[in-house]
Amino acid sequence: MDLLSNFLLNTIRSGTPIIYALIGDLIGQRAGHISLSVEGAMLMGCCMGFTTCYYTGNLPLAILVSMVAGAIIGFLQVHFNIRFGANMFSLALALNYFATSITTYFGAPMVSASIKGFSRIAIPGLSAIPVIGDALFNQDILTYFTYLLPVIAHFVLFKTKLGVALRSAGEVHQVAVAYGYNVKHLKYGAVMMAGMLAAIGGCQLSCAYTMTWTAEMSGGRGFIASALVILCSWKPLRAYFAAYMFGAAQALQILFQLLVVPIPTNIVTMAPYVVTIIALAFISLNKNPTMPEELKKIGRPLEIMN
Amino acid sequence: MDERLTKVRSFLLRFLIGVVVSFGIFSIFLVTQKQNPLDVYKALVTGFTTSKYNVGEIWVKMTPILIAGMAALIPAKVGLCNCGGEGQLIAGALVANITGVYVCTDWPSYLGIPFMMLMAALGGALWGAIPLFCKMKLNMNETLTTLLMNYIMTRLVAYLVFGPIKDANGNNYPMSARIPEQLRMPSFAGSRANFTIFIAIALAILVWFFFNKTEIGFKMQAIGGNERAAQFAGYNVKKIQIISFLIAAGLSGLAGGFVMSSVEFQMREATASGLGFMGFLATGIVGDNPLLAIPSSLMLAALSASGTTLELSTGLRAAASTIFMSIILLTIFALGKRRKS
Amino acid sequence: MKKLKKFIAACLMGVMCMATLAGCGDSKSDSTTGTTTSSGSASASDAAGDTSAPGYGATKIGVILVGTRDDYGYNQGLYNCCVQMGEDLGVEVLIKESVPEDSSSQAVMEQLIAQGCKIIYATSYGHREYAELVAAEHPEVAFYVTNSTGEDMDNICVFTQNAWDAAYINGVCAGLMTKTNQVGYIGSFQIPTVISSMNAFTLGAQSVNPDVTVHAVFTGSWSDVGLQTNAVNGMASQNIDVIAQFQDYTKTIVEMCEAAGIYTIGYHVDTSELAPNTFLIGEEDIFVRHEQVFQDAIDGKFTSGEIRGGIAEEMVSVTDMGSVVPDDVKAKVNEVYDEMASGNLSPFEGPIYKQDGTIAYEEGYIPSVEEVDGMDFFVDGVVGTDN
Repeated sequence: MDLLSNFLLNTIRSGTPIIYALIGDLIGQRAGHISLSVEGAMLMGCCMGFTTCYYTGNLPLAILVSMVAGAIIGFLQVHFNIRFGANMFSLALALNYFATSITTYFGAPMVSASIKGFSRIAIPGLSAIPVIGDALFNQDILTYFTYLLPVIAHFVLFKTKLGVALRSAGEVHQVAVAYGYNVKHLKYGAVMMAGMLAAIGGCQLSCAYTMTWTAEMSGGRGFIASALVILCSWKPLRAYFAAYMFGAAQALQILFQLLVVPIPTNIVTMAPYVVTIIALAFISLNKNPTMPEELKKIGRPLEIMN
Repeated sequence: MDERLTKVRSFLLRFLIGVVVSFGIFSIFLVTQKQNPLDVYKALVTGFTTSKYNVGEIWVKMTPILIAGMAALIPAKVGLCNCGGEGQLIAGALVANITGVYVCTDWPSYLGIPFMMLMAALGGALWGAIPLFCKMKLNMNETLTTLLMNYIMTRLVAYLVFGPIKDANGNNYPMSARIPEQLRMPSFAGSRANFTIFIAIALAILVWFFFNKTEIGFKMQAIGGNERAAQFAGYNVKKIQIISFLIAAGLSGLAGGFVMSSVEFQMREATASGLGFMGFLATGIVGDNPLLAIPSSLMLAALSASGTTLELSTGLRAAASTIFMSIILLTIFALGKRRKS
Repeated sequence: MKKLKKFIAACLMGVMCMATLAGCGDSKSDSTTGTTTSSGSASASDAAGDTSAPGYGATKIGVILVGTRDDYGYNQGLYNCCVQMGEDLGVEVLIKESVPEDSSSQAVMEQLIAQGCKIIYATSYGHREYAELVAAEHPEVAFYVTNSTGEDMDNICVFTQNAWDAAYINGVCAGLMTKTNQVGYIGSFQIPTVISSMNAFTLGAQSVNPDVTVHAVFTGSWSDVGLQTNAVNGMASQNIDVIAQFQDYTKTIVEMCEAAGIYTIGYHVDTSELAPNTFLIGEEDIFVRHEQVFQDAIDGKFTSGEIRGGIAEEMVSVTDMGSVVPDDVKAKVNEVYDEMASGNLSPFEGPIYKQDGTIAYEEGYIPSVEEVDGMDFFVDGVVGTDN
C-alpha cells in the first residue's frame, strides 16, 4: 500500500468516530438541543465497549452496551435540561466530568488489556481498486456503516414524517405543537439518539481503530464533532466533508513528518476550527439561514436556583 | 419580604437535600469500592485542615475559577452567552508569559507585575473581541463562536510552545521560558496561595453590588431579560453589551495572568486548561448569582484539589474525587427550579 | 431581607474561617523564597551517616509517575522497581500515577512530603522544574529526578541513563535484520535524550549495514495511542520493515507491528510476549543502582549531582533477543554488546556526519557526555525534520 492510500485509510479511520458523534449531535441540534455531552457519551462507549469485548468477546453485545451507556448520557442531558431547567452547556460540562471520572476510575484495570476487536473486512472486488480500494473498502464494519449513516439521517430528516416533526420541534415550537407533535418526546428521542450514536463512535475508537483503552481516550473528538455540526449547516450529507476534513488533519500530522513537509502540525489541526468559524459567518449572513431557530435562542437563563 | 424569605428557605432546604443526596450516592459508591465512607470523608476534611499547603491549593484553584465565573456571568446579565472564558483565560496566561519573558524581563516587581496583568487582561479582551465582532457585525451566535475560539486557542498555544516561544534553554521540550523571579507573585508562607484570592472575592462582591444595588446595574439586567423592550426603553443595548463582554473577557484574561504569575510561570500545551470551563460551571449552577458563586467556586476548587489527598490517604484512585464532584453537580442541577412544561 | 443578609454574612464568615484556618494550620518550615543556587558538586555529607543530610532516616519514599503502571513501558518498569525497593529496604513507598508534567506535580510532591516522605523520586522529564521549586522549600528532603537538565541544588540528584548505548545495540540488530533497508523510529519529543538515542540507533544500524535509512517521526507525546497508530500505519506503507520507538507506552506500537508483520524493537520493558513473531530486541531499564542509592540516602550519605551511566555502568541494558532472530545475528549483537560493556566502544565516535553532510565529530573524536546531552542534530541517514 502506498503513502497516499495509507493517508486515505487513516483519514477515514480517524473520521469515523467523528461522523457518529456528528450525525448524533446534528439530529439533536435539529430538534433544538445542543449536546456537548457527546464527548462524554463517546468516552462511555469507548470504555463500555472495550470492557464488554474484553470480558465476553461478543462484538454485537459490545455495540449494544455502548449504545445503552450513550443513551443514558443523552437522557441525562435532555432530562435535566427540560425537567430541571439546567443550562445545556453547564450540564454537558458536568456530564463530561462524570463520564471522564467514571471511565478513568473503572477503566483503569483495562489499560493494558488486549482484545480481539472488530477486524477489518475487505469487500471483494471493490477493495482491489487502486489507491482508494484498500482505504475505503478494507475497513471494519462500524466504519462501513458510517458510509451510509449520513444518507440515512438525511432521508429520515427530510423525507419522513418523523423527520419533519423533529425539525419543526427545532424550528418553531408552536407549529409543532399545533400539528400534534409532542415536542418533549421528540427532543428526548433526538438527544438520546445523539448519545447513542456518539457512543458507537467511541466503541469504534477502542474496539476497531486502536484495540486499546486508555483514560480520556476520546481526546476531545466529541467536542469537535459538536462544533462540526455547524460546519455542515445542519445538513447531514455534508458530514462526510466535515468529518473527513478533520480526519485528514489528524492523518496529516504523521504524513507531513514522513514526507518531511515543514508545516507545523498544530496549524494543521487548528484548521478545522477556523474553517468552521468562517463557515458560521457565511451561514449567519445567508439570506436563507439553515440554523434551526431554537438554537438561536440559546443563552444562559438567568434563574436556575431561586 | 415574605417572598424573599420563602426563596431563601427553599434554597436552604434544597441545598440540604442536595448535600444529603450526593453524599449518600457517593457513599454507596465508596462501599462498593470497599471503603468506609466515614473514613473517606474524614480523610478529605483532615487533608485540608491539617495542611496549610493543601488549603492554599484550594485558593490557588478558586481564584481563576471565581474570576472566570464572573466572566461568564456578566455577559449573561446583559443577554449574551460567553462560553469562551476558557480560551480567554489561556490567552491571558499566554500574553502574561510573553510579556514577562520578552518585554518586562528586567523591570522591578512593582512595575512589571501590574503591567503583565494589564497585558493579560488585554489579551483576554482581544480574544473575546473576535467573537464579539462576529456577533455584532455579522450576527453570528456568540455561544457557538466563543466555544470554537476555545479550541483554536489551545491549538495556538500548542503551536507556539512547539515553535516560536519554545524555551531556548529547555532542550527542545515544548514549553516556554519561565517568567523571571521578580515577576512572580509572592505567596503566603507554606503554600502557593497569594493575595489574588482576595481580589477574586472582592470582585464577586463588587459585581453583585453593581448589579443589585446600583441603578445602572439594575437597568442593565433589564437588557438580559428582554432585549427588545430594553431597546424601546431607550437603552443603547449594543454599546452596553460590547462593553460588558469586553470587560468580562478581560477579566478572564486577568485570571489567566494571575495563574501564570502565581503558580505556572511558563506556558505548556495544557497550561491553565479547564479553569475557564469550571468558572462557567460555578456560576451556571447558582443561577448567575455572584455571591453564591463564591461558595460554589470554593466547592469546585476544593473538590478538584482533593484528588491527590484522597488517593494518598485512602488508596482510592484520584478520579474518585471527580466522581464525587460530578455527583454533586448533577444533584445541584436536579434541584433546580422545575420548569413548567 | 434580613434573612438574606444573614445568609450572605454566614457565607462570607465561612470563607474567612477557612482563611484563618489556613493561617493557623501546620506551621512547618518557613519559606525560603526563591530557588537556592548552589555550587553543584557533591554536597557536604562527608562522614558516613550525616544526620542532617537530605533524606536521612526516611521511612517513606514518594514516587510520582507521569503515566500508569500498566503501560508496558517506562512507568511499569519504575512501578515494579519501586515496589521491590520498598520490600528490600523495608520502607513504605507511596506511588502516585498519572501526574502530569505541569504545576499540579508540585502539589502532589508537597502532599507526599506532608504525608511524611523524606525521599521524593520524580520520574519524568517535565517534573524536574517543579521538583526544584519543592526542593527549595524542603532542604531536608532528598529529591531524585531523571534525565533532565536544570538548576543544580544541594538536595537534588539526577539519574541519567545513557540510553544511547542500548539504542546503538538495537540499531545493530535492526541493521542486520532489515531486508528493505528502510527502518522506522517513532520518538516522542525532539529533546536531546530522544535525539541522541535515535542517532545512536541509526549509527548502530549503519555500522553493520551502511545502506540503512531511518525514517524518524515524533508524536509530540509520550503515549498518544492514536498518533502511534497512525505512525505505524504510515510507516508500513513506506516499505519499512523494522520499527523502533522511544515512548513511555510501548504496547500499541509493538502489537501493531506484530499484526502487520513488521519487526519491532521495544523500549523500557521486555515486550517479546506481545509480538512472538516479530520482536527483535528492546531497550531495558534496569534499576539496580536505584536501591543502593536510596539506601545510601536513608543512611545519610546523600550526594547531589548526577548519577549517570550506560551499559557499562549497569543503568541501561537490552532485553534478550526474540526467537525470530537467527543465531548468527545474535552472535554479532552479543559481540557488540560485550565490547560496549567493557567500555571499549562509544556509539558516537567520529567520523559522524549530520543530515546536511557537514561533519559533526571528526574521525576518532569521542564527544563528552555533556555534548551528547545537548545533541540537536540528526545524523546522516535519518529522514525527518527537526522543527
